[in-house]
Amino acid sequence: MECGYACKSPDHTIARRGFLGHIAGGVGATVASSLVGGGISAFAEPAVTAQLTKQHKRVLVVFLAGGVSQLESWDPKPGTDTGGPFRAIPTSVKGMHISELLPHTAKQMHHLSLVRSINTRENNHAQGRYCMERGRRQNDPGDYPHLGGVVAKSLDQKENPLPGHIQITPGGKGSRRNDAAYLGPKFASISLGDGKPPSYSKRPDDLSAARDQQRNDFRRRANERLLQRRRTAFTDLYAQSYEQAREMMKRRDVFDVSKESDKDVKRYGEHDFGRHCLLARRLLENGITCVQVSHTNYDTHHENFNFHIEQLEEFDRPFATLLDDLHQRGMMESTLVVVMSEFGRTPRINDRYGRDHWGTAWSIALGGCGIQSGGIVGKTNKNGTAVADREVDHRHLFHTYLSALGVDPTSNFDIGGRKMPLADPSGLRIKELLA
Amino acid sequence: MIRFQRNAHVASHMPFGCATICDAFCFSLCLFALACGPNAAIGAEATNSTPLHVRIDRTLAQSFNESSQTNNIGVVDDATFLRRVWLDLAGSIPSAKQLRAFLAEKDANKRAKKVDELLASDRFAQHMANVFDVMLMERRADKHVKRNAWRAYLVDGFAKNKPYNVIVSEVLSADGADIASRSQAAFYLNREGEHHQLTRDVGRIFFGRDLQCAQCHDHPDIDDMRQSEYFNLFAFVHRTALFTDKKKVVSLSEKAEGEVKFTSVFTKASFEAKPAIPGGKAITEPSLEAAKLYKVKPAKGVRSVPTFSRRQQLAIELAKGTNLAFRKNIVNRLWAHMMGRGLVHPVDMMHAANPASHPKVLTLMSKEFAANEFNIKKLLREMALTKAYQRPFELSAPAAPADATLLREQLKDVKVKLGTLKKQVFASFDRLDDADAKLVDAAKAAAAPRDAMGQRQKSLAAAQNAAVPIEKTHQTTVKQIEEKARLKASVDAAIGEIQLAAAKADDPTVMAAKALFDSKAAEISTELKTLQAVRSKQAAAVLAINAKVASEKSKFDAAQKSFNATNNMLRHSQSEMDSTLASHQAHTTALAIAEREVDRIEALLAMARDTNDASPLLADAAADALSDHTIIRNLKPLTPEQLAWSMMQATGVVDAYRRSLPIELKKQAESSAAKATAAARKKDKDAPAVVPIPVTPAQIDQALNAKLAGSVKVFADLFSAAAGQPQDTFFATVDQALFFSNSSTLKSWLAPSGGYLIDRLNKEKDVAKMTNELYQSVLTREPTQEEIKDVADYMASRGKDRVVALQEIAWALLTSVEFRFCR
Repeated sequence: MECGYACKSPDHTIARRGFLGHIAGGVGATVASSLVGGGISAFAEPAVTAQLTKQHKRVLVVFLAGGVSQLESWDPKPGTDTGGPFRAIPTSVKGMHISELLPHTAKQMHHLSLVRSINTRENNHAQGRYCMERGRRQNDPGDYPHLGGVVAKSLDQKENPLPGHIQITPGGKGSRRNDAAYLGPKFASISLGDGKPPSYSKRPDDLSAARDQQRNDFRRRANERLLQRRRTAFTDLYAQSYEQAREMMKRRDVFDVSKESDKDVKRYGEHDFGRHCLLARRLLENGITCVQVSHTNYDTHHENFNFHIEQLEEFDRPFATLLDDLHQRGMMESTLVVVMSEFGRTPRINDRYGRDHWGTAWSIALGGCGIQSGGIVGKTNKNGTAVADREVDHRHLFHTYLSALGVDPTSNFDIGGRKMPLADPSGLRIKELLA
Repeated sequence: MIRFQRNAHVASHMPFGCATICDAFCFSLCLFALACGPNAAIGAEATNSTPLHVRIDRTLAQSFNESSQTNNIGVVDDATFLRRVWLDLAGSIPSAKQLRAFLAEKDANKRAKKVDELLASDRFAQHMANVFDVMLMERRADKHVKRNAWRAYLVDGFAKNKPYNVIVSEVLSADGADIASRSQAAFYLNREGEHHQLTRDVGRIFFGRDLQCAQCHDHPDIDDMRQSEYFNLFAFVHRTALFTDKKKVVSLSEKAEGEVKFTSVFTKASFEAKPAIPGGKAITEPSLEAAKLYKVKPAKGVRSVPTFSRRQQLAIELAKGTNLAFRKNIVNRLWAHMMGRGLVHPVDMMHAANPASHPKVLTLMSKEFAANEFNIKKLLREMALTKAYQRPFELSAPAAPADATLLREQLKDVKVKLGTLKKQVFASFDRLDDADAKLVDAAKAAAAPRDAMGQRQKSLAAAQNAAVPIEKTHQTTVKQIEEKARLKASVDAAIGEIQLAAAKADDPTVMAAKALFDSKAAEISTELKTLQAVRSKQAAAVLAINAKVASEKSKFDAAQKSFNATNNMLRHSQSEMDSTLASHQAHTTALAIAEREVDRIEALLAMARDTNDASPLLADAAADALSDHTIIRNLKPLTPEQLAWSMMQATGVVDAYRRSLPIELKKQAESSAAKATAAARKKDKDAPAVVPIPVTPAQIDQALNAKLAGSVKVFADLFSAAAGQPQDTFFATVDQALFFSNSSTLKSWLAPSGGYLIDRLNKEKDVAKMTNELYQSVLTREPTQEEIKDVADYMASRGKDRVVALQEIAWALLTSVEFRFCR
């Protein structure tokens, strides 16, 4: 299928230059490579692209599955009984130190803030993940939607045929996941990975474009006859879903990371997580509202330190590259970036050199849209065994994400006449984090 | 609509969890069977000889003020009616053949006959099992009770036309331990017996009241959803827990003890809750001695069963069928099933400020449903025969201008009434606030005395307990003294005798014996003295502790007295609150009904305007308003199951199986009969041949259902709301459209072979006849001339590509709005 790349046209280049002109200190090579690679691509109108990039707010969640150690990442405690063998290194933010396992990310910390005082009281993988992704406890009666669904619905671009929420995860098959609760299937995530595009997005080989067009024309004529008699919100939604499906089929390349340049592939790293970060960039550039990338596995009950060297090395460069690219493209102001886990890891080092599950005093990093840069909220005590200041939990974080995106977390969705609060009404946003 | 924000200012200060205190969690199980037949408790309610469907239409007409406009709206043609009743009662569109037979039928009563025929069919039981499965389980995972077993229970119930209250009581009384009724326990078990989930779902599904927002405090927006109502329901299930036996089979156990206390996060006032259904009285519990609390006592690895099961009481209460909310809920849900929208909408938001669009219709049907012993078939039949059910879905002829004048006058009147009603609601709202404040004060005033009384009771019990051993040791000492005294008396007597003997004979052995006895006597005397000293000390201790007990008793009496006083105040405040709330509810409802009337008249007015003049947008909105008020019909989206079955019906998949299955089942029956014959003849070579069991229509439907279950599931997964969510919301998504556009599923159903639709169409060379077959098969109607031309042009433009062109046209109709909705 031909894809209408506009990246080589002079118009596009000019628009891009104009757009990037105001960004200070942009790395030339990066900009050039992104132009060649055709990052912002499938839109025919470059002006639209710029507008969308600037105005449409998005979320990037990087989920370090299994529970990354805060002591080996955002809240190092070198030289204490719990600190482990690694040093803390300075970052691009004066006075902010993170683990030496994240040298590339350290250079990008001026785009991020840290929350070092999370206590979710949740030490179970599934329940911890539920808390962090949905801002509610799993054992509350009822089921609640994922942040991505809440955001996709709140920031819904009704005419956009692309899914609002995508989960990039190894083994993702292009099918819809069950994570939108009452928001319904429209806001459930599509899971991508292994290069598979969304299910059924390819026209069967034995059906030509012309014939597909003809049958759809016939369908539209049939619809017209009924809709002249009665039109409702539901009939419109149904009829539109086919038009959106056709649009989506045209823009199927949005999901195809192999369309990115070899140079970018190398910059991000030729492994799953690198490719997934590059795909995330591509999706965010094309107006997907929420993209979550998972990196696994941090559940280091054994050999915590060796595993963190390996895992974080794989995480560090692609993530830092992605942050830098988002910044270079002027997308940080409109993209909320959150690096989270289901929980942290115990300060106590067990007899297998491991650390265990720990929801009591741990950290996340976040930045971009609506979030102060270079800040640190809360702290843990000297050896990280307890929160010492500004304790927060999943509810506060969830309220903060929504507030940062300009969505009122205390408002309600109307779901078939039922009022559903966007976020747990008992939570409060973390004001000092908000820009 | 007016919305009152109560307590909104404190909403942001809610603590982490809700202050639910369940004093203890108790395990038990209920072995006693329910004595709750359908006839047991239904009050004799007058029936009217006029058929219910006529009375429903009459009552509806009254609420339209007999407007000529609504009277002029006719009923749909036979084809549309047939498609509706098939979808609603059999879960699928009919075949072209069935359509043609119905159209050809001359009987004036043929619609009623068709409804009866469908209600009697095996498809009805299969379809209603789907409807009730979705309603009761909301597509939850079938972790403990598998869907097939649960569905089989429902199919059996609908095949036997089991009364609704019996189904509900069977479902809510099952504990999963009894094999015979295990599948019924799906409602509890597949919700993991989770107390809050069960409370919410019992409230929503059986009473139409979503009390979730009243878990932590009185509902902030809905005045008559009280936290107490939530915890009264909670008290039925909070002693229940999951029990896993040695074979890892999970069932329910229950405890005999444990009370529910709850605290409002807004007012911090605490209350106790006893089991009660919405609008009902608290269940009276027998007070049993500790030894008689259980049929099976709680112990490790044992499923405890209380003598009195609170959970069973819920089933017993509902089996009675006397509760109004219980009746209205199911009638409203069945109405929503038939009409696409409940009289109360959403169906789980029945409360004073959200009354039915036609309250009298709901009341009428609820009464009749109870009087007819909760006969679901009978109610569905009457609904299907109403004119309301048979109304068109579109606006038709504009009304006479005279009507508009009348409507404007009516509107004026209602708006005047509205003003008065609003004032009344504001006034009653203030009274409610006062009563609420008093109740909170009374609850708080009662809290300290209740705690004090509890403390005093504990102290008294402690003193009484302490007195027991003191009294006991004192008694022991007294007994010891008595024994020693008796011993001393006998020793003294012996010494006397020895002295006598010694006087008679100066024998040294006697003297030695005397010396021995003397020393024993001295020893006993000493012991006695010691014991007496001990006793007098113990007697003092006894006196002291008795004084303490007496003093604690009088303190407890005083505390109890003061608690009783505050508790009486609390009860008084509670009953004041109840009556204030009742009057507030009445006012709120009256206001909401008047507001509905305004909506309705405005919609009718919009319709009365010259339709040429009105913008399409206005007409759409007016049509929506009119269908919300049951004046015209909703365009109702098909459920995932209806959609799957209808597509397979339209494309010929269902009929192909209907042709092959009887043969297949007959072969199976013959083969198993032959095997049985062979087995019998091994024992006795002259044994008679086993006769194959004849295949029944129910068996065929069952087998058909099993064959198509996989395809139906694909649709359910793609088109339904998420598991555990209300399933009455509509979603149209890109991935659904992609599935229909590009998947091989639909393509395979459009194969040009096997007597499938495309096969039939391909054999018909006359375009008009072919188009007729296509539209009858897919859209259950005949095509218009314009449509025949459209098809003919399409076919002509494709020349030799005949089969492919047919597939494309059939695809277009299957994916059209008309197919997706019940029109």
